[in-house]
Amino acid sequence: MVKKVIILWMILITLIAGIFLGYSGLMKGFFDRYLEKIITLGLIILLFCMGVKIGLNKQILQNLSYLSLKAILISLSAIAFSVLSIRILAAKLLILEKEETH
Amino acid sequence: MTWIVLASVIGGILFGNLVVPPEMLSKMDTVVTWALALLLFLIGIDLGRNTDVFKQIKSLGFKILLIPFSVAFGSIIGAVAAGFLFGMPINESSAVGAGFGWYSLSSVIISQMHNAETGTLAFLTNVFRELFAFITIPLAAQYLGKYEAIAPGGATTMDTTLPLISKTVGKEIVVLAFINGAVLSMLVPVLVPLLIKLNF
Repeated sequence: MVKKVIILWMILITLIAGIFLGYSGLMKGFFDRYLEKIITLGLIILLFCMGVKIGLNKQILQNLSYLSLKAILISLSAIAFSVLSIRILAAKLLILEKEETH
Repeated sequence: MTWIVLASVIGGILFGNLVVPPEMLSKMDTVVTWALALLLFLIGIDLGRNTDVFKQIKSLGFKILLIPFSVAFGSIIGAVAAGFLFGMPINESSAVGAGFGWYSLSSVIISQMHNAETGTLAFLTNVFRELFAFITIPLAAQYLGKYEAIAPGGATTMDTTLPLISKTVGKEIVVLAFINGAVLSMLVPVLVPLLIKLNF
């Protein structure tokens, strides 16, 4: 359990360090040219490793259709609620804009 | 890109199913954790160097952040509500929802920090999110309004769904949609690890 907390902070710290490095503009030329390719390669390797973990876990493959059903409902619900949330906010924003024009 | 992602996952599944001995898993896990930290460092650089976005947020005013924040809020609440029907723990459903359509990143974080099954669910959910966004964006644009049309895409409104939003809503929304996607993309690597570690 302690180890997982360390992983969480390691991830957040490296992420924030990266954001600062990127924002600073250091090594800009190198990143402009290569960063996207390196990230794509890194994601491919990690996705492959995730695939290996899935492949070693027979239960996941047996449950794939149930997982897909869950995934469809969760994604539709997330879309519906985010549209609703924006609808409430957009109404508020529009009211503000109207008040500003008065 | 979608095909490369799918090929990597399916290749991994076959490799894991047919080649890798199960006892290798714990060794692999340590290496992958370090690789994930390194990848997040690089993704941080990529997000940070988007200095245009920071400038645009400043010039448009911080009120603009209400759009991505309420998309984030709605996505997480929606995922938790649907997860509730399946008896899912809130940390899992909220983290899956906080992928905001960025299926590659959210799934590798969850698979590494939590378990492979929830990682698979995050992958599928966020693939479907992007897919359904392509269907619902034109509908939201036609029947609801221009702001509502930004919501379904989540983090993808800065790249894959941006052309569709531009086409169905109009060019005036492109900057807002891009900012929305960029801010949500920044929230994915922060919120997904935090939410999956929540204890209720």
